[in-house]
Amino acid sequence: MATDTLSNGPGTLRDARAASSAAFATALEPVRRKFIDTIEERILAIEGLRQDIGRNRDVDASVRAVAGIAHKLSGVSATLGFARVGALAATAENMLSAEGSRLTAADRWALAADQVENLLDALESILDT
Amino acid sequence: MASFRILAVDDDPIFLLLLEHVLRRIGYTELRCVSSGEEALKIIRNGDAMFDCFLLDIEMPGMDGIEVCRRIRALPGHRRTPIVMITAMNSQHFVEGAFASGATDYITKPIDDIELKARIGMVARLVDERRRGKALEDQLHSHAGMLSAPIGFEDPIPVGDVGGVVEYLALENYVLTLGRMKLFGHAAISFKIVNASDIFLTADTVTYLDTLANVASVIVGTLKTHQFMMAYAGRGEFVCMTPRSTVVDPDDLKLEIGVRLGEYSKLYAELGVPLPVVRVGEPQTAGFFTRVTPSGLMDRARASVREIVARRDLVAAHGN
Repeated sequence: MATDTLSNGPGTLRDARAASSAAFATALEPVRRKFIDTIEERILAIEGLRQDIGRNRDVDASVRAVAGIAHKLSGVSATLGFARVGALAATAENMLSAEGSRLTAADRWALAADQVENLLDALESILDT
Repeated sequence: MASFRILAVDDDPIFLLLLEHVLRRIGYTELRCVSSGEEALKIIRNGDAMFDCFLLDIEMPGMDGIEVCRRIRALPGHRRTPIVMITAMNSQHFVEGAFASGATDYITKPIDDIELKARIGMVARLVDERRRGKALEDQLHSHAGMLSAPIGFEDPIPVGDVGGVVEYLALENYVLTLGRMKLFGHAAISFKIVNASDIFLTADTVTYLDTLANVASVIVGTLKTHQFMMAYAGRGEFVCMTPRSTVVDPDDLKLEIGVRLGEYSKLYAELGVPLPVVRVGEPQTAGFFTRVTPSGLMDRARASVREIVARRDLVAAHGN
């Protein structure tokens, strides 16, 4: 079938797409390295905020700050090849965001705590590789 | 590729770096990045650097992207400069406010090179077309000693300085962002200046543009109690998107517009330009179970008002 030839045959569109994706990834390598350099700092920031929330210290601002970090992570991670971090960060941001939520910051945190933990694990696994 | 200068505003330095790399890869190298709306406005107001396009992150601490967009639009030199908003995939609820503040389009984070290429490419073509138009306008101006911009009757010319009126491209992009549910909640109404071609032939460019702005402000005046977004589509036609629940009887609208325009009859007579006569189409809505594309709804609204005008012409011909 013509579509098979286009998508599966040698020297096909699929190959061209793969080559283009590889070139895209190569072009982004300096950004990817820079992003990885910032991960430890982000983990420490989230850990610090998590402790503040645990000690009931300025919970509103701390939850907002974690949501802010998750927002930034979800904006770039997938493009840089870290799709899992991007997805976890987007979900965490959604759960922590006050936008359209009637829950208090403490309640939002209680719901999102596991998600944030998973996000931290995913970030740490990037550093481990 | 012609020069295309972009100012990008985002509070995340990694995103700006990523944007720079992706844009460079797809051929856009003239990029300046800043980390806040305040900084961007300072640079724009200083006038040291000129920009053809702005990329604004919506969610930023301090002044958010929607406010930056509104303030850029308030600057005389940037009423028509394309503004592309950048929003997270899960924050698309901000998009409506961005279009209402004058945004031209939006892209979602995480970005990919294909989407960015398509969106920025569209904006670059728009800028290019305007440059060509401006060059021709300047040429005509220097030859004839008068302003005579090369606008076409069919062109969806931007109508400036009327609140709630955006460029047709922006309205199309806005309507495309409405999901099926939201589209169901909206109605498209079209307004047609019946004698637009006579006015186009009689008036000079400036007077024609003023007439369009006058008609737009009169229509907006009749809609002022409702939420709406309107654009000039060309051929004397405006398309307006309103919530389905606040649609007003088209006959009432037509009468009120006629009365309000009548107040300008002396002015138009002095200019030697026909007084605009406006007809209103039937509001078009999307059925919940019928498949209507967003642009299809706008086309149906325009077809409705054309049909009304054609019917009126037919009645008039028989009457004669």
